[in-house]
Amino acid sequence: MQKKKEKINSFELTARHLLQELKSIYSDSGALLILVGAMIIYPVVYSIGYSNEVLTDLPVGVVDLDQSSLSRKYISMLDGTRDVAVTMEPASLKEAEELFLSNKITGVILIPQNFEKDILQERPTNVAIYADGSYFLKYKTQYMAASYVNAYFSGGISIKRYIGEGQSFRQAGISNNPLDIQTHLLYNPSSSYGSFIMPGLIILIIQQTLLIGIGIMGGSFSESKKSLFFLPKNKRIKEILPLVFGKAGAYLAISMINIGLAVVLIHDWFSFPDKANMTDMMMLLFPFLMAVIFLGIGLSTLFKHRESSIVFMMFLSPIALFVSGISWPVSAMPQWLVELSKIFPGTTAIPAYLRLRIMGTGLTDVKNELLFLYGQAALYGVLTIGYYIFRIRKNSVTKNNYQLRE
Amino acid sequence: MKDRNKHPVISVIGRETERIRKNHAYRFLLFSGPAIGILLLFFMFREGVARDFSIAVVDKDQSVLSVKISNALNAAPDVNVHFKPTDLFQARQLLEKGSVDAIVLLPDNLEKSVFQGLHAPVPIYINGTNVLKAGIIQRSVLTTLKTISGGIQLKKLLLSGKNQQEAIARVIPVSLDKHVLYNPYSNYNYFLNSALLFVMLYLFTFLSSIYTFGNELKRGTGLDLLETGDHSVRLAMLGKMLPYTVIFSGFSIFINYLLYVVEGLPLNGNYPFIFISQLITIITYQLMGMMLVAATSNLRLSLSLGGAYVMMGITFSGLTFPVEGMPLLARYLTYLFPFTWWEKIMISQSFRGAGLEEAYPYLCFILIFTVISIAFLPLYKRRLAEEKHWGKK
Repeated sequence: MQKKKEKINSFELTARHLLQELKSIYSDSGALLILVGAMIIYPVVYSIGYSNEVLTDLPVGVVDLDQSSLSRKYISMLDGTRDVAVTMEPASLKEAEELFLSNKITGVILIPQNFEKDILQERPTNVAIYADGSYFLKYKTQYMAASYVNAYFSGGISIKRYIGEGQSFRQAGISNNPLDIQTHLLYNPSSSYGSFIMPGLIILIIQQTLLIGIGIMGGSFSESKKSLFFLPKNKRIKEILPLVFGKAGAYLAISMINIGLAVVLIHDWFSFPDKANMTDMMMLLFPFLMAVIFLGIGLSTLFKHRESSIVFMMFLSPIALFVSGISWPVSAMPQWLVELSKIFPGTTAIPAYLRLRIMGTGLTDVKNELLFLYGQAALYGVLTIGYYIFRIRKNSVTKNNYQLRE
Repeated sequence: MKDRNKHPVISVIGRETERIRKNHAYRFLLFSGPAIGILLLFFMFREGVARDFSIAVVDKDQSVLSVKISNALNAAPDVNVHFKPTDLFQARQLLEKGSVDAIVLLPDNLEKSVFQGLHAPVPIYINGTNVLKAGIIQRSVLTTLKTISGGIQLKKLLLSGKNQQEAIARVIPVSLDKHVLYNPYSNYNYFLNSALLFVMLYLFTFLSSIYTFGNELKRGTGLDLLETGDHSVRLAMLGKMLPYTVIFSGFSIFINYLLYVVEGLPLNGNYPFIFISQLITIITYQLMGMMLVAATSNLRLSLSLGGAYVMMGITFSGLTFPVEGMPLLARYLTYLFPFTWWEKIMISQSFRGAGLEEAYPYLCFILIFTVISIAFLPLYKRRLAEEKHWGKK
């Protein structure tokens, strides 16, 4: 038996470790849930939440103190926007406030008395908007809708006046807008929330579930009753590479399935923007996965109890989410935090992935990130292997000391 | 062994304190973890307002007007002209590399066209990948350019013989007065931190509760716990939960200090009500931890499920994308997270200063979770006493 074990070559050993790891994952419901189940549940549930993509017909109230034909025109223009719907017309600002506090409306627009008269007499007038700043997206949607309506309404009045002075329609348009500002929102023209948040979030979920999953399986020397190694104690140094690469192979295999599911299928089901060349995307995701897996294996050796790693990784998830810049711009965060967050491969990979996938740039445009990720994967791999060697040496030294003392 | 004179609850508290003292995982869950998490998030959003997004201006005109536009853009608070590429192709490369977030193209003969009263288009290309960023840039660039455009229009009107008031009424016939309620500085920090710091708090409350209740099963110490609690699962539970409730309430006071005192978050409502709601939410998450352990009798599975549940609560609280915009199915899902109701209490009481009658129903929704969890106590007692659940990881 001993002889047979010694004859085993490192490829066979790697394969054995790979299969061993897959088997243990399969028999652990917690790990299976995180490594496989979560990749189905999370993206689907999140995508359902965001599937309407944009906020439409937010109920607002308009207090029309003028009750004129122009004020009614203003209201119908507001109601005509995609973003807001005029559901109530309270008689006073006080009444509007009550409706607002009882959540019947999410914002108020006030048209003052003499609105029409001022306009007809060519006196400047104003419309007030009270938008709810406690919900950011609601505030933005209402304010944008009101701004657009106001700009069009005002533009119409000015152009009519220019025409009244004898200018042609075309000339009046130019006089009213000496600079014709043409905004082009690239890559996500409708500002869809799902398309904005989900593609990056999927990559982040891959990173976090991998880190937690690897942590649950554990590489700890202290807790697992069964030894991690197949070879006898004196040959274990030689088994470190097969062990680490076998484990990494197992997680890589699972990740490939997850990527097929989340990055390819779910991305397609919910019609998120996709301009990437599939090969380029895989070229980027490969070093990302390797870096995450080696980081995971490395970290998992640090926890005495496998449960601890779940807790540790779980609490880092919201932090990893924000430092990846998916939602809140990284430029507005303290520099030390941004640098520190590069420990997570996702911080580097997600912006690069979004450029590839959403903007459709080539691999050359993410060259730096690609190299950084390969470097990171190598560093984490070397550190992990180094740590294993250190532990095995330490174990044998302690053992020798123990024997000497005996 | 056990002191017979001591009240069972005190004995269980003593037993739990001893466990916390001996295991560093507990210490992480109860002290360093929440402290690190809360402070990291706090510093992350400290700035509150995102500024100085880098943009590129392609100035093909090189005139007095185009230089003026470029300088005005650079002076705008939200954007910075970092690059002045010579053509659109170079600018596009910068955009694709991620070096700039927007391109403003000032075409040939811009100044000439403007002064001759000809059509003078100024195209802006904004990277819309990040909706939030694109919104800020769009607003900033548009405001700057519209101001310059309005200035030109005003000058022309004055030259044509109109007086100041007439000219202004032509340029801006109707102005829009913006009132941002409850958050006058449009501070994103207020908005995010007021929610995320509590996500962190409840995450640790929930996980530590799962950890401690699950560990009794994993280590097979259930009978000992029941014995210390004088064979009453209710007393045992009380003693076991109390140290955690005290510690996490301490953290909630710390968060309130950071938010209201350090950051100056608006507190327009009733602080005692906010604090009581925090306390009830903490206790609810603790009890839900016990419920999850009783239901699965598997520590690791419970921890995975528990973490996932809290994380999903962020999305379904309507914090990032308002509930009104979600499809019907998702809107029902929002009911399943105590955090949704906590967030409503926070917004109602902290930002809006609404009456308590608005917030009571939200608190009742949280209490439903409390009651459902308490109903799992007998099941947890059975799990503690049955040997077949012991040692289950």
